[in-house]
Amino acid sequence: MDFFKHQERAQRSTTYLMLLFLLAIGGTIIGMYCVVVGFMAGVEWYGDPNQTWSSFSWDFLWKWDPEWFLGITLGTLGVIVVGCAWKYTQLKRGGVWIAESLGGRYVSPSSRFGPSRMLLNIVEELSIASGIPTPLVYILEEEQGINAFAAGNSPEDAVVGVTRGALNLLNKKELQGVIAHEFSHILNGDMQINLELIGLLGGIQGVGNLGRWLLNAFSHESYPLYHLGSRIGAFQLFIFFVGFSVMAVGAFGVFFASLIKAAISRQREFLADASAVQLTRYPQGLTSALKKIGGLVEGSAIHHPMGHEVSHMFFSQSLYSGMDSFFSTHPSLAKRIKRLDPSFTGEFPEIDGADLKTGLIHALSGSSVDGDEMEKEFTGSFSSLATSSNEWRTTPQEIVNQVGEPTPAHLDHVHHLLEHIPIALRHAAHESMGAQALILVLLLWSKVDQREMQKHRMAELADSSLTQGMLSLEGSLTTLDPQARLPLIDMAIPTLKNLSHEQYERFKNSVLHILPEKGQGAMFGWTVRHVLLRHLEPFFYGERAPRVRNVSLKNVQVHCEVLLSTLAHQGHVNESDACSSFNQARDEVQLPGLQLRDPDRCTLTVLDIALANLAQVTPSEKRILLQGCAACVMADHQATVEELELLRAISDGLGCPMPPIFVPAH
Amino acid sequence: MAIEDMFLLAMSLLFVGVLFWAMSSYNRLVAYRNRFKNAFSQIDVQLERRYDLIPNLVETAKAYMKHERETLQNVIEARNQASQAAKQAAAKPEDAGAIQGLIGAEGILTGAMGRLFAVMESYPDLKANQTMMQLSQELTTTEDRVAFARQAYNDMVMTYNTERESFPTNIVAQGFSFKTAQLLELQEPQKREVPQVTFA
Repeated sequence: MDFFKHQERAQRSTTYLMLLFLLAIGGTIIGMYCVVVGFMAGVEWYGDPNQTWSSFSWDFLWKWDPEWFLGITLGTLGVIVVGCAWKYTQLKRGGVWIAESLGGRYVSPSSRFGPSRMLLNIVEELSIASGIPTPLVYILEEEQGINAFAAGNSPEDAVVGVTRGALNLLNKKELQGVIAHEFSHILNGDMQINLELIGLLGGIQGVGNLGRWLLNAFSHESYPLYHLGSRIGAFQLFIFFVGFSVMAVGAFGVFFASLIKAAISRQREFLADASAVQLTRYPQGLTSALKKIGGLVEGSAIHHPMGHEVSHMFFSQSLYSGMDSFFSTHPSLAKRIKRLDPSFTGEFPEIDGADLKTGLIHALSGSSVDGDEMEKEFTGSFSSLATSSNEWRTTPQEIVNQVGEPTPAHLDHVHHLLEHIPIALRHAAHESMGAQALILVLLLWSKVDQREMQKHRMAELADSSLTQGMLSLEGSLTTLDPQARLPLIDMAIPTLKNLSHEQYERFKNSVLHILPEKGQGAMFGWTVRHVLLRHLEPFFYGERAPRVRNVSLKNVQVHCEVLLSTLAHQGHVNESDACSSFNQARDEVQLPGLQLRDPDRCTLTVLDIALANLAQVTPSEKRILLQGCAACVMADHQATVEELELLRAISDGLGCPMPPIFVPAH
Repeated sequence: MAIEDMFLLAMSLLFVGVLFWAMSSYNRLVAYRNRFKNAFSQIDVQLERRYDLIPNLVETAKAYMKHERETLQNVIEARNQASQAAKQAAAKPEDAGAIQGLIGAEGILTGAMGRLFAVMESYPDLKANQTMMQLSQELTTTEDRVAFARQAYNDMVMTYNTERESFPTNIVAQGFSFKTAQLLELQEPQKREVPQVTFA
């Protein structure tokens, strides 16, 4: 199953989910009705002076009481609608909201040392290799078990979180396995399904959750009532009682919700394990992480009260549920390990809490050793890379097959690229002033002939410390591999999310101001602008990426024409070359009606609009469109780094994360 | 429908509406608070970097400044104080007192550093020292970064405070004890001579 099929499946699952949801609502209503009618019958029987055990009749079950039924239906639906609406308002904030409400501590990208840096590096490498923006990273400081999660509405606002226990007890390779598992949830579209689940189930569970919320109201700092608790004792008792009764009433909803959650989640886990191994080419990492969970008394437990609602998003079972029950959100550890390592005997190594401390040291010292080892393992078999305007033969299909399917070769490639980025640039990308200077200076450098003039314009626009920062980076740029430019910008994106709105506005204006419009550097300029705006604009202004609808390519032919024409013109100065590559693209997408547009009619604004419309095309047709784009770029068997970057940016704009392109050795 | 029923319905709708509003205000306040707390982590990393540089700088200066023991000692003490205050502030950036403490300690440190640099003027050998030049260049960069991260933090604190005080969100803010956050207003370190670069 490739990326595009996964996307379609994700869309289909939503329909399936709705069906289950409706069934669950029906079940809840019927359940509530039975309880209420039974309760009424019970009261009547109790009030009867000549009550005996045998006089209690079960007739109420067959006596249809439409008035009560209507009342209960309306009441239940009301609660569900309110619950869903409420959850959706929270989910709009995406992954950040989930990480924060689980008590996560944000890890600043500028951390330079210790386990946080190791974690940031792992996340960075994996995300650049998979072609998705580097997610924000959170640590659940309070949790001593080994667990992790990825959450978000889309790869753009994804966050990755790990527990303190995982960070202390796992070494670099194990952690990489765990994070790779989470990344495959991001790539497979499971994350969106997971959020939709929270939204929908939030409705059905609404009553039960309210009850649990009240019960716990004084038990955890994250609850608003916690701060009132110490003042009023009797009030607290009253709230406990109310909480308990409300929870009992909501039990039906919680029951159905847990069933749905478990059913949807469990099957996804094996797949994510398999993809994680496929990506890291190191099954031992993931296996040994799973074994450690099995050996740890804490296991993978999550104690935060919010953990209940999002149990299906974690790496491993976060709630106790016996061995392998209908309510397990994850397959048992033994089963997961057996799939990865058939020789597993079912015995877990014993890990005791004292290891928490030594584990930290181990993780720290292990990180460098593992890094070296990993490099030794990785060099060799692969790594024939597409260097600037290198001649290569690969089919458009081969390129598009890589979308959403990063391989160990991509990981090696990225590892190698990042390793060779000058340290000054890497540090700059991790620090908010440096990140801005870095991007601006990269843009200036792309336009060799007008650099001086651009600098002048820049000095007018930015304040002195920023220009100072740019100048200090300039020297390091000469040794930068052009292929590493886009990865550097990817690295800078989570850092830029630390800007305030005002600073972001100023930075955006500077970027737009110095963007080369035509000629040398224009293509790179557009790519950078696109990558930045696509990933930062939603963060600062809460706009969502266009949703995928079932639009067919035929209905958006005009936009197709714009996209392919632009690509053709960008790659070729010569009119006839452009024409021939356009024709190849047209054959690939099988839309004979397309005509090459004049270069003047392919402005950047038009291209933006075209991409926004094309993003709604159904996944299988997107595949065809991307093959067309790839065919256009590769028509002359010559592709510059700029062209490949543009192709990746377009793919990204269509919602298809394309790993850094390189050509496997034949 | 009887008039009482209508009334009941209207009241319950109103109740649900108010509940929703309260919950979303609460959520918004939490979101804003988390944003500025996260922003503090950016300042913290840079401040730490600065606190790491200062002892090196003092060590280098010691070799040249035989008679300025006290000035150097002051810098180190102020640095230790500030470092302690920064740790406390980083643990709870929403605590106005902790931020106040940091502002105070930073003020003392900036003063002590200013005096050190002033004294250094009379030691041309020290000023020409390669390590010293590197360190003071590094210090300037770090200070610029602090200033920048501080700007972001202050912008976010302003957004939070404005939201917290505006009607009707202030009712929720008071009910759930959202406290006013403190702006991190530091006095800018004196501009030292750094290689000035001009654009032709």
